[in-house]
Amino acid sequence: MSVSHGRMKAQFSEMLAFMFLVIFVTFFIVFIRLSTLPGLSATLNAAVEAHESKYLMSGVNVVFFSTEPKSGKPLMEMLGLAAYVGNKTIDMGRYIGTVDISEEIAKRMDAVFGKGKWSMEVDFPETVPEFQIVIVADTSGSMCNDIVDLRDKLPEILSNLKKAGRKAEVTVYMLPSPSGCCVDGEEVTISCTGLGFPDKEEFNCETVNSAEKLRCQLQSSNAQTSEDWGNGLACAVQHGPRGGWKDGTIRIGIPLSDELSLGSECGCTDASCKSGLDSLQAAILEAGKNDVKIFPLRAYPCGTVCYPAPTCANQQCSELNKRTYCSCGDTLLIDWMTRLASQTGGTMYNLTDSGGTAEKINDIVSSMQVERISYLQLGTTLDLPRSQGKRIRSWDFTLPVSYSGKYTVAHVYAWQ
Amino acid sequence: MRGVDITVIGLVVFLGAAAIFSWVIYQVNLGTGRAGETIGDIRTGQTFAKMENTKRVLIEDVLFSTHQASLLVASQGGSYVPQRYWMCAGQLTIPTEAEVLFALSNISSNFMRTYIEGINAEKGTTVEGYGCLYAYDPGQSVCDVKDSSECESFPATATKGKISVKGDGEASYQDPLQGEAAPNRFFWIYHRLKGVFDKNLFMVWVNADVREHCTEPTLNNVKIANAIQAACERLQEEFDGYVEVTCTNLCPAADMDCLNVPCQAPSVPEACTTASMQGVHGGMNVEISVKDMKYNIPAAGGSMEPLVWNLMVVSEVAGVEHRPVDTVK
Repeated sequence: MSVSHGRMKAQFSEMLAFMFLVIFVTFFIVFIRLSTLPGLSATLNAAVEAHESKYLMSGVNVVFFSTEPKSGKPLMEMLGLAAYVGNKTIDMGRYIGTVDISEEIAKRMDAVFGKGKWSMEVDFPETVPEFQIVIVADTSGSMCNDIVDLRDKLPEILSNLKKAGRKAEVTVYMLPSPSGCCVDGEEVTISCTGLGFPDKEEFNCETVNSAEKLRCQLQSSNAQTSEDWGNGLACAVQHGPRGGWKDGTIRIGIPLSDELSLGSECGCTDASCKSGLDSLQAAILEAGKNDVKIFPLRAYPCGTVCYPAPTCANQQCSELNKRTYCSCGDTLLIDWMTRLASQTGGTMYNLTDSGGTAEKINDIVSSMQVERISYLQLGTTLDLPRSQGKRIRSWDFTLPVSYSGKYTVAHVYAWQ
Repeated sequence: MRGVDITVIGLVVFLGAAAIFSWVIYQVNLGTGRAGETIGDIRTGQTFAKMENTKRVLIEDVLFSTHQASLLVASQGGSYVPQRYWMCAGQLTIPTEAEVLFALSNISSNFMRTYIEGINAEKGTTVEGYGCLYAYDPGQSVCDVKDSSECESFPATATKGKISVKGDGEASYQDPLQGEAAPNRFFWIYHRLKGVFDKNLFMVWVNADVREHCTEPTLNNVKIANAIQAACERLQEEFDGYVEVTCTNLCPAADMDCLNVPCQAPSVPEACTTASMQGVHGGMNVEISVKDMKYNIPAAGGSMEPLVWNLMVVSEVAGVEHRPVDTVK
């Protein structure tokens, strides 16, 4: 009995050991096998991930490559147009009229991804600057040094700003009927061509009232004289820099003068110099309409003035009458410029010498904090899904814009 | 006996466990294998999708370039030179279809190349070539009719290029990229203008108006200026209501000096100065501008602009078509 019982025990132990061995070997094989494969959950995640990104990509393609019914163009092309034009509404001409691409895109994205479950942001194309600046320059003789300073130093300042990622475009508007000027011993006119201003996209020069295209559209306030910076600024603000104002940029207007709009402030008051005040009001009105901040620069009121005698024309300036002249510009001019600045959200700067014009413009631009927004924002903002802890998928789609050779990116986001 | 039973039971348990584990291993293998294949397929699909996207972007580049070039070529009078004279000193010098197509293709190719240089293709995607762009003229028979509906677009093709995508799969595309520049009435306006100028109708209209008012007591230059405007209004009728035709008289004096422009050295015919002919002798230098307000087109500067054809006409006015001097007895 005890022998039999002992044998049974032995057999049972043997079988148990064998089973443990089998289990061990099996687990070992499973472990080895599994370790050579990606984990099941990881594989599943990867498959889901790949599927979802493909779904997002395909969905966006369906929307972008579909045709906008009014224009007959693909939405991708319309988005590229809108990205440059800077408006969700595009004017396609008299036959088609205006097309609101946001409605079309929203309708189709809603159908593909579900309402409130997507977002799209289209970047500013590189062509759109951060700042657009119009400078209206008084072209009377005493302004010569200040304007030459602009011409000489501003290109480098703009170049440095660009390198720092702060692209600015500047158009200098010269007031009409310019005086003569002494530059490097030569007699020249204070004008775009006379002073040899550059003609580049980021820095160029125009003359107010010089041609029909630049003629101010204001009925009664075309700039009349070389010092009429109020009306001149109104004109410049109305036209914007070369190519016009673009959406999404910070718009800056800078009158540069050492005298009142109608000339010397000597003996002038608001009441007695009403036409000058009207000129100032025209500038304030246009700045408000066009959302332009004005930063007046009261130029140093003394400068070297050339008085070319007829017999000396085209000769070296040293042979001409030349003297230092100081205008009256310490009281009413500062008051008017301060009013102009305060009513348009800008600041008035009082230059203390004639060499600081360009540097002051650098200070103005550098001091402004820019919070750039996406050019076009469509769909639901990302704050909502983020606050709900949703998993957001994203995809960037390169879009050509209508500006020759340029592209932008549409960032598309979707969530469940 | 009971020991044997236990051994058999152990063996059955072992085989059962082995079978279950084998099944688990098989399923794991199968599942991960299938998932891997699916992921592979999706990724390969993404490679092709990337290529398709790049193609679509490039086709948009083709279309933008073509639209931009059409605006420029039209503003230059159908040529790659800045100012194209359709009539030089009375001689018709209308740009041929070949010249217009050359200008359009040449300029649009330049625009296309700037797009190709600027393209920031997705990682693994390369674009080579495609800087050679051709536009196709729908043809005079389709376009030289007052109803523009059959001539409001034209195909444009970029050739000699390659798109390559490398990722989880490889894909490449070397065929032409073709798109339809629409809506754009570039060729409709060209053929309508060409139809008028081929028959020299503009000068016929000018001369007819001059003859009509020949004896009126106004100065020659006024008669010619009025005749230009009358011809301009007549030209307007060749188009639909979306087109605005304006004529700018660049030579208000309306004398023979008007012919003295660098388009061609004018040799004034004898008939112009024949004393036995009465009335208006003169010259004209007119810029004709035909603006299509129906559709706005994307311009190289980024904005949407109407298509404007500008052409120059320099000609002697009236000349031999005048009637003889009236004699009073």
